[in-house]
Amino acid sequence: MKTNLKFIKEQFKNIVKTYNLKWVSEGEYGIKVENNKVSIIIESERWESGYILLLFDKIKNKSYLFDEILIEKEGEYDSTDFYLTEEEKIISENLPQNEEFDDYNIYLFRIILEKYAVEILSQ
Amino acid sequence: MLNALDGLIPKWKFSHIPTSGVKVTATTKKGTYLVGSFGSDLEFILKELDYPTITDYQKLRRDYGFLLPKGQKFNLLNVSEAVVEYFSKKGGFFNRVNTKWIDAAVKRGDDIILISSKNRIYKKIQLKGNNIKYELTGYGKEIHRLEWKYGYRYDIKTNKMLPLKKENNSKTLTKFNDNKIN
Repeated sequence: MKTNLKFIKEQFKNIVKTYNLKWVSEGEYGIKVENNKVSIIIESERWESGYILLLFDKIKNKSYLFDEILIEKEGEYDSTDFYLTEEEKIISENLPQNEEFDDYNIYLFRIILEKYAVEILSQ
Repeated sequence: MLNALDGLIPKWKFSHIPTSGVKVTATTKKGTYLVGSFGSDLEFILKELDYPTITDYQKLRRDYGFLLPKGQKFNLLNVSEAVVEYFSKKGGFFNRVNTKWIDAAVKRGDDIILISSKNRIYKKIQLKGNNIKYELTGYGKEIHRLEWKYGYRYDIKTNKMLPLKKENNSKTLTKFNDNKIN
């Protein structure tokens, strides 16, 4: 599954700007943005579905896989209702999730970072 | 003239820095296996090495040995999209191709280096309807096979997967129940 670069760039442009991140690698199967304190990694696999969605805290040398940062802050959760507004829920439900695209998870990852990773991103 | 030399000039260096941080060197004539994640490492290394692509799925259906391609020093799995598609419909690409690639390395006793970071072993996906899927990546499945089918263990000093010995009894990177072994 190739990454949907156009969608990813659109989704992450504000985070990149706000936290002064740089696009350091970009291929058909993955992108990485970072500064000297954090990296955000979005990678797909060549013959498998689904993305590796990762926030890496360079200061603490700690990785957060997709929702682990949310779990660390809020404990276990079992529903996207917990962190999505009504409007975000509607948007997310209309995004594709199939063998070719998973814009749905890219969108959720961006929301989780914006809402729960501020301390790490702005350190 | 250059074309005539294709395949004869050894391809053994690349500038990409592996996310595992390992300094890769090919040390044996039979070639060193590079196991890793496509998006973070393999995509870039394959391009730099101008690595040959397996395009004939019929070859892979037979007892294909995954020998080192002519002129290369690293053994990497590189197949065309059509081959992926064919095997995906025939029971899954991993089970039909990746497993045989790993098995061939173990059978020959080839060196196996992990080139990707350990944080590429698992992935987590939110499915619509609120189910979370937490599973091994393709890279993770390859490590799982080495650990749980063949008893290999990760060696932190060399970043290699090595047969289990008393002096190398480190913890596994994956758990037995993460994947089925065929």
